[in-house]
Amino acid sequence: MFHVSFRYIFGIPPLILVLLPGASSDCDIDGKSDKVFGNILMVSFNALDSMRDICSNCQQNASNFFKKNSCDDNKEVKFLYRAVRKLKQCNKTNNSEEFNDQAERISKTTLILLNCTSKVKERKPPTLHKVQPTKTLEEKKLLKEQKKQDDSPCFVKRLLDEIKTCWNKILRGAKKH
Amino acid sequence: MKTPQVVGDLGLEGADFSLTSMPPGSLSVSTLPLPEVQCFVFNAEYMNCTWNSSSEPQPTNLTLRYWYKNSADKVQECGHYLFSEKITSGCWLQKEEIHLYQTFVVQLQYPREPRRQAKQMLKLQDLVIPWAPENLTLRDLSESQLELSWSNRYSSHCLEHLVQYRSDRDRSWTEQLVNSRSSFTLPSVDVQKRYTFRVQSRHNPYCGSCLHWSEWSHPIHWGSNASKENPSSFALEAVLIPLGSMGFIISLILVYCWLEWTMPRIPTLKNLEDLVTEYQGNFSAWSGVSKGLTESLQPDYSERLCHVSEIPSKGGTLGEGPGGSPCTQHSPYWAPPCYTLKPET
Repeated sequence: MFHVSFRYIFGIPPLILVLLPGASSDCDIDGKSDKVFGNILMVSFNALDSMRDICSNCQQNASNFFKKNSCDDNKEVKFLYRAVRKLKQCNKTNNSEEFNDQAERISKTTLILLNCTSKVKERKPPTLHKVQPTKTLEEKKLLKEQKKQDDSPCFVKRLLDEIKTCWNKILRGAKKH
Repeated sequence: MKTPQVVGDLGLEGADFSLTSMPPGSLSVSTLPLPEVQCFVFNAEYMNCTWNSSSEPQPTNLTLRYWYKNSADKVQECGHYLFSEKITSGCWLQKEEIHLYQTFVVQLQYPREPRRQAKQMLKLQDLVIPWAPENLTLRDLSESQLELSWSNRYSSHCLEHLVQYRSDRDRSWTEQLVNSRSSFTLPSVDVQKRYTFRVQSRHNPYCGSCLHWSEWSHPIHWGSNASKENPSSFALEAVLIPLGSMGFIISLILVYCWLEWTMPRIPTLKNLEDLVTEYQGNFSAWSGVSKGLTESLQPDYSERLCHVSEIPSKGGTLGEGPGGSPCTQHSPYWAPPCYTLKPET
């Protein structure tokens, strides 16, 4: 019994200390983000807005990404980081070159402004002694459909809109307090 | 069932129509599109969503429902309708119901036919209209530099401003766009002029992208009151003086021409021999002086010569002079009496 209590007293705190960096944000928004937003990001956003022929008939897709990620209070930076990473993963072949150039500029500039360290990564909770279940054929099919949807111009356009909205929210609150 | 082409033609992107199947050629209320809802957030204090209630063929109280996408909040019906001629024409939402950075979904519904509805998704951060700027203040930075400053009842860093100014001599406004800061510097001003300034603001670009400007602020003035141009001085300077000058010059020309026409020419010595050869001594014809002018130059009075002589010493009366009659008359006019001088005894 002494060995059990010893393990709990001296084992768990170090585990918390190890897991703490994964739970906290390692991104720090640049203090001059408003100027960069106005001079660089807005130019790209406006250029994308002018491409109205793209996604003019978009249906309201319910992508899993937006179900799991949103620019909620105190989660703005986290959302932006995930959104630009998702943007980079999207297949560019469905879009025009100019569209892809503007999207690339937005994602790179956002990452620079977020000033995230290399330690920031998606970390799943440790699953000790747990075996990952194999995906069924139907689940694989769903994942494939989801991937196809996320590569569509409509999803990319919506992703960019959400990135812009989240930036607006951050900048509004940046000098408010 | 969605009809994207119809939606696109009517400019109702994001609208969702439910159409009932009708025989071709017939038209019913359910096939008519619902009016578009237009929302504005005024200074982030309240929001008005309005629609054209007269677009319906029959006056109908349309209902409005709203919710925020990806939010746990339930669908809510408008709690404060706006009316136009006793028909619902809008909805007023208070500050606590406004979340600028969540997608706002508004649904307009026909009460008698619930399937007839239209849904719109709006970005409220692009629909914010701030109140007009206030407390406009002018400050002299230097002898000719002027600084205009103002305040807003909204976060200033979220706004961009448009400054207009003109002097009392200008006919149109001069504009200057100012980003986020609440001041504007005019580098050189003329102290002789009177300036007017005014400012308007909009929610752009850092916190949203609204294209609508606020109302204009109350104007503020700077400069001399005396320099203000009034219509009478303008009439004097721009009209009367030039006309008067022209009239004076024209009158001088006319007088000169009249004098040239009426006054005789001064004969030149070159043509003196013409007086003898051509005009046979007729001076008036040669000189060009008119007959009337010649006659008018003749003397029209006569003067009798009066000889005055001394009285001889032997007392002779002076009755006749050695030359005859004492006075010689040159004209039939009455001659003045001649006086004699009597010697002293």
